[in-house]
Amino acid sequence: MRQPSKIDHALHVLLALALLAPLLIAFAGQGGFADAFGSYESGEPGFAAARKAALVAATGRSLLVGILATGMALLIGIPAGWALSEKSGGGLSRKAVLLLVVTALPLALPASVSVSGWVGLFAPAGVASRFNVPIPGFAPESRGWLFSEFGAALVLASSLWPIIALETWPGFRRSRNEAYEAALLYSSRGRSFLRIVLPQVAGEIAAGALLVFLFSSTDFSVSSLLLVRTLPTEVHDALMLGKTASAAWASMPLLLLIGIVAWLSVRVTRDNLPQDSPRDTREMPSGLIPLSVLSAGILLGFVLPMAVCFVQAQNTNKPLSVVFGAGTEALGSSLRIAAAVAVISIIAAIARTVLWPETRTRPINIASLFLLAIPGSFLAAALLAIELALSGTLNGTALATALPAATFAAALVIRFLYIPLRLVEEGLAALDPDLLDAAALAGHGRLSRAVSIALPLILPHILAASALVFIFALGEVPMSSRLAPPGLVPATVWLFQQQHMGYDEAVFGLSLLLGGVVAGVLLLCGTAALIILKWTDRARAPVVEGL
Amino acid sequence: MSRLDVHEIEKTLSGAQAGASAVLRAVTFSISDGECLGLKGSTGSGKTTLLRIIAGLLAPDSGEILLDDRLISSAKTQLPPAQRGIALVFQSLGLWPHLTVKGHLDFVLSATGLSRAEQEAHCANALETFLIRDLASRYPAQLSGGERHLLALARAFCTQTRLLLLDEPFTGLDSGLKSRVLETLAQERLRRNLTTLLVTHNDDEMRCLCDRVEHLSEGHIVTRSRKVQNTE
Repeated sequence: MRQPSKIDHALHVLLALALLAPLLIAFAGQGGFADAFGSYESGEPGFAAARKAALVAATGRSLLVGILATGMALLIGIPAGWALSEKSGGGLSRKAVLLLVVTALPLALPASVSVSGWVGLFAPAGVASRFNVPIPGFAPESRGWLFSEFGAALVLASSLWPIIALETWPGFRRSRNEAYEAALLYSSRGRSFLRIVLPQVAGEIAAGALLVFLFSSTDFSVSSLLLVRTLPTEVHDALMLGKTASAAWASMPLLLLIGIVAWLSVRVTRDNLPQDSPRDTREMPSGLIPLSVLSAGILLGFVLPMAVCFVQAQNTNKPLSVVFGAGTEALGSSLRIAAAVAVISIIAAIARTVLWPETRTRPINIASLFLLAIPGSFLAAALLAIELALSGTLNGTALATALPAATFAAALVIRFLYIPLRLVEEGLAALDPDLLDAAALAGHGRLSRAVSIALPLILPHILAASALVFIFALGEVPMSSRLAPPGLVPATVWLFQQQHMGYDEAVFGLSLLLGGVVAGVLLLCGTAALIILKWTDRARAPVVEGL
Repeated sequence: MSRLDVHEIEKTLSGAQAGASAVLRAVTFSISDGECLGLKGSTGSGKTTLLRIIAGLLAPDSGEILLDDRLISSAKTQLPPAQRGIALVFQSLGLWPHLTVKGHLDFVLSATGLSRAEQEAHCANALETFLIRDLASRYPAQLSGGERHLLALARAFCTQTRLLLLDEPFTGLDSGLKSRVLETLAQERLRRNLTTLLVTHNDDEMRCLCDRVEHLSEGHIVTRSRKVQNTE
């Protein structure tokens, strides 16, 4: 692989700055530091202190939810990754692809859909709006364990554990070698796993844990629906009042945290220790426990919420047109937007490959990971400020009409840019450098090498990235609720608003539809990846690795 | 010192693409106390599979393996590898990349039930015997080829091993290094009178270590008990 030149570095930094610069604009909107921290109310004693205390408490809740969710996700994700490394076998059979697709299902299920299932199961009467307004003269209604930091962490962990499983299974696969067998000669299976296998996969585990922590501590949908007032909900509330600068300032504690964790997660060891070649995994069964944990994780994160939604939708005894009809228009709008965002992401992934087929681009990835993890409301605040500035300039032109939709699509593209960039990097890193060197020796330039050699071989990665972007764009809530153009209500926003008022048959109906769509997209993507891999004769090569 | 009896072992492996194929067919042989048996055979003849079955890393489809007249492997009974007292030196050596030289021996000794002081004594003895005392704090990636082989042997010898299995352990060593490693191994094996099964293609290694040789071809033992003529 070619080492990045100074020009490459400069270009990467410029691109990273271009991505991050719009965020600064958010600070120039309405409200401001004084508004965010309550210090403008100088005449009201104690107000500023109470406001700051509320923000500190919200930050604490965000951290608590993040830590709890990460711990729970590790408990499921590590055994699941170990089981996956055996069952997927390292090659790409139909069974292996199906297993990876099924493992990704909980991650693909939109958070608000997941909440529908959990609330339907444990707190059918748990309508958020009932708890918001205390009835005078009555004791506050018990919310139940689901409406707590622990409940939010559990729901998030049940969705996010596949990140750890998918991050770690290639490492676990590599560690199923003669070194592991040597350990088995002297120690029990459990001790060999803890002392020999786990330390070799520590980098992947840490990277997965950091990603889960980032997503759970900055989550808005689950925390908001389960009435856990985390910092992202504070930020979102400020934005809904039109105070973009207040939202930006209130995000500062999280931004600092995210910056550190994003930097750490890119720095965390990707330098794998030299290892022996892996053996045939069928000779090394993982045992019943890891496989049971993998099954339980899929059950908890996808099957259970979907089953509950199905039962609840059935129980209403209303016609299917009522159950499924209410949210279909919103679903149609969401599908169109998500498809557009996925197409733009494919273009970004191809551009990345063509620009740097032989090098890696860390500066962009830190920036894009940062954008993936910051509260969606903050990114929305930044883009809303830009949109407002531009709409003044473009007022009266045809462009002004298209501006809200363009801003919305741009926000989703920027938000999920990390996914195609990361997967393309994984694909390029897995390529044998000799393939590109041989093409260079044959006289092919950088562009020709990228288009003829690199692109065809990383098509499965690009395909996986586009499917993930489509799914995540479909399930996004905080940015969609603020940036969706007039007249367009995305499905998850429609669902989110309904959930705050009550869990009726329409909520469960749309939840089922969304679950069906993400499962269908993942299956299609898996089938297409299998076809492409067979076409490029790489059926024995490692599967799309990493996130 | 132990006796190994292998009776009618059969094993079929199913390949990822080629389908099922019989690797071992009614393999039968014995190794008496302190004896070193050499096992020859072409690539794919099932030598490594046989070693892995004896070590407990694979289960046979049928047949029995007895160590000191105790059944350790059959289609129904599988004693866990760690309870067999068998050491295996892999072709790739199977070193643990995240552990130091001393860390390797500590990991092995910590599972033996010995006191801390006894573990330390065994560790120091193995480091001394295999000439790697000065390398105790190094990681496998910081060792030369010969040193890595010595570490693999030290790991195999640091406990009360009853049976030593060697799977082409000298592959990749140049002749100078190989004679050094072979000499150390031969001395220690004789000192302990350790029952040994060596798989190799190399006649020099056979002559240096083995008392007799068997030939494995297409899953069968085809040459029985040919005494090695030690010319050295």
